[in-house]
Amino acid sequence: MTTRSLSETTSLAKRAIRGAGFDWGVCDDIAAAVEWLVRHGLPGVEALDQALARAADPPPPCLPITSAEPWRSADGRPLSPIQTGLALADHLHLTSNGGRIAIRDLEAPLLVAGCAAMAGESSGRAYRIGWGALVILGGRGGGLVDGDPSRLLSASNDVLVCVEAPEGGALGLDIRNRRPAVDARVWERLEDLAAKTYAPATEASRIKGAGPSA
Amino acid sequence: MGRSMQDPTSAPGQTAAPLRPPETVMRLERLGANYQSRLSFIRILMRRLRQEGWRFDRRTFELDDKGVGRAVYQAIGPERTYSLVAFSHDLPDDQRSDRVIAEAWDATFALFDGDPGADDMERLSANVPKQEAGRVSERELTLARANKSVRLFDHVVERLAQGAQPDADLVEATGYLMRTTAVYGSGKFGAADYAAISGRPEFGAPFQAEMLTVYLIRAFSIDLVEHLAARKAPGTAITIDPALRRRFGIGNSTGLGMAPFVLNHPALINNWITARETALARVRAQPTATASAASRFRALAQRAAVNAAAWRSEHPDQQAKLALLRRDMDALNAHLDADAFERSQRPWDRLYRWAEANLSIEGQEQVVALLIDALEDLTDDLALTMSAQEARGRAIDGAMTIGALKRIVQDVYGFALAIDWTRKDPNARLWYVSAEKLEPRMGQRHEEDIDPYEEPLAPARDAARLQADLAAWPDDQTVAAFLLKHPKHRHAARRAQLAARLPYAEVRGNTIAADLLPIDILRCKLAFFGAARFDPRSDRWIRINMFQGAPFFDEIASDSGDDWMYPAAPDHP
Repeated sequence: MTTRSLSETTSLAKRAIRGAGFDWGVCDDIAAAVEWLVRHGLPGVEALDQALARAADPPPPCLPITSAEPWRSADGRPLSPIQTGLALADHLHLTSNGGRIAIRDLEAPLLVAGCAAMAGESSGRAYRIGWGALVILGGRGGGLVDGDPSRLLSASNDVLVCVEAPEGGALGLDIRNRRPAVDARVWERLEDLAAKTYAPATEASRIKGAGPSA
Repeated sequence: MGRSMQDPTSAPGQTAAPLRPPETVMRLERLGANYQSRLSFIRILMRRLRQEGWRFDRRTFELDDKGVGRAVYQAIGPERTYSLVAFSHDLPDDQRSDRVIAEAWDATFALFDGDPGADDMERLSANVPKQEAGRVSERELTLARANKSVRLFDHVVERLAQGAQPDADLVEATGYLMRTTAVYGSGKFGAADYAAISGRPEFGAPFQAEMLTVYLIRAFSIDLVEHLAARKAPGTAITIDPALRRRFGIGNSTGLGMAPFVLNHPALINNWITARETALARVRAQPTATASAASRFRALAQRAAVNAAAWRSEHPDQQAKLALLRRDMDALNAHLDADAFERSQRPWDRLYRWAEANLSIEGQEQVVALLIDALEDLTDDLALTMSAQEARGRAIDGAMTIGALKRIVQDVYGFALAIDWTRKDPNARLWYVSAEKLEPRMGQRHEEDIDPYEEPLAPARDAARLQADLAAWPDDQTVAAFLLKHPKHRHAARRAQLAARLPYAEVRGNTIAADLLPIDILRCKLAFFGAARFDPRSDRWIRINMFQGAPFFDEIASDSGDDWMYPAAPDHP
């Protein structure tokens, strides 16, 4: 079975997100979240595939962010995992000094959790992110702490809660060359999206775009 | 805003020299005048091979009369062995192309992690010759290919078969028998991720697996011509004289694909440049010069002049640069003859300031490399600082205030804010990736319909756009709140925050300007690799030479000094 390297996985993720119509900066963060998940043995590629399947919808309204109330959808539709994941990563400072972020109306929480974990690793902090019976420790020494791994991608009506984990973690599940074993159809969907980022090959482009005679 | 950057590693009690500011160092023109030095990756590799006593073994060499077949070269280190698996092909001349879009090559290679067994060889022979169209595994560290430089290659085979040495001038004019057209590592096409091997001391510095691959390919290229000569004329063929053999490096054809790397890995680039600037600062901070260091510098300066004289290019712009460089090297050597610089206080700093005041940017940067090279042992530890943990510091700091971000953008990208982005010229170029074998290309925005495919390689323009939207926000709001409303600015905001922490992370230039020379960006990276004899063929295609002058396997142990990359000095009467 063909395995892909971590760097191939991350590059493909980035291009697939772009192919789905998101800004490049969004692609960087979400692909980094996918990479964090994959390195810790969690189904990050599949989580992205799920999230992008929703990307065809019209973009959701802006998330109202507070530190007092749970974040929730303004129009009744499930929150976008991509938009919400970015917002969570950007607002993690709200969890300092015992603060707590809670998010409702989130059907597919894993990618959102991955965003917080990735941001934790980036800043040298750790976060405990849980929904239903699942808990992920994200940041240094992170991974799945509690719950049934087969439920990681399941739809969930549970509130996602994120708090800082000052003690960090020592799970040691970070495998820096992990090769995810992903269903071929998932790869194909991502590759189809990524293909939208490549300019059509034309004779003029071949002559003028690169090479010694450009 | 003056950012005071000092060498944090300078010895206690020694006044550290300031590092040159990014506004100077990160300008495209100066990046495009970068020179290899002892901190280049090839030099780091060769020092390790010598210091650790690496052995080499040609385990397999099975080529037919036309040179078609396979070979395996092993590099045996103190703890691990690496094997270059080479496949040599019979490539029709009309199929030879150095571009990414090529589909066949004279030779294809993979660097195997260990000693390949029969199954590995079978798998590799089915995949390596296909390059991007095949797959390699985590047992392969690199995937590469090379084409012959036909004229010189055929000449050498011919001469050796006749029992004569190749013409030295012809050898010098080209400088290599083969040139690589890609050396892929870091997980590409299924190869091992860098993170999987970065813990090994031999791979602690950047691109060591790639440079080892090229070094082994160089040996293969020599063996190939000698093999063909021997098959052609078994009775008369000879091998290349060792002194002449050293003049063969491995060429490389580099196109646009390398430029995005510099822009997409700002933390890494920062570390490379910080290492070099720190090295320069340490040298300049030396209060005195020993007689031997001064003598060494003078010798290297003469050899640099020889290098400048021998360096050829057909490109008019490069020829103009070379004319300046030759003038500069003459001026440098005349200055050294007239000035006993070693008798003054802070003599190296004085020399640097003289170069800054009197030489072109090419000349100045050559002097920087000579300064670093002259003082052996002062800066080699910096090689260990050139990698980067890119997972740290990559997430956006949402808590930062708008006011703080505005100040950072003004500080780092002030040059970009001064550009009139409503004009056509600053926006003229556009980077994209073609569906044709995913080749990176650069187009003309105003003439081609490729806007939707633009890659995020215009940090200056994007910073200006960011600042324009920040202007409408109160200073005390957060970046997080801003990005919720303006996700399109995430890329620029991240780069700005990174550049505030890492001074050399950001190019101080407009990478989509009408007058952009992508070769400036290519040369920056290639010089860090250890390349020399930069020979642009267009504004976006460059030929270089790697390992020219380097010892071969049996010469490493006895090769004294780390200065083989400078041609021999002219004889003195």
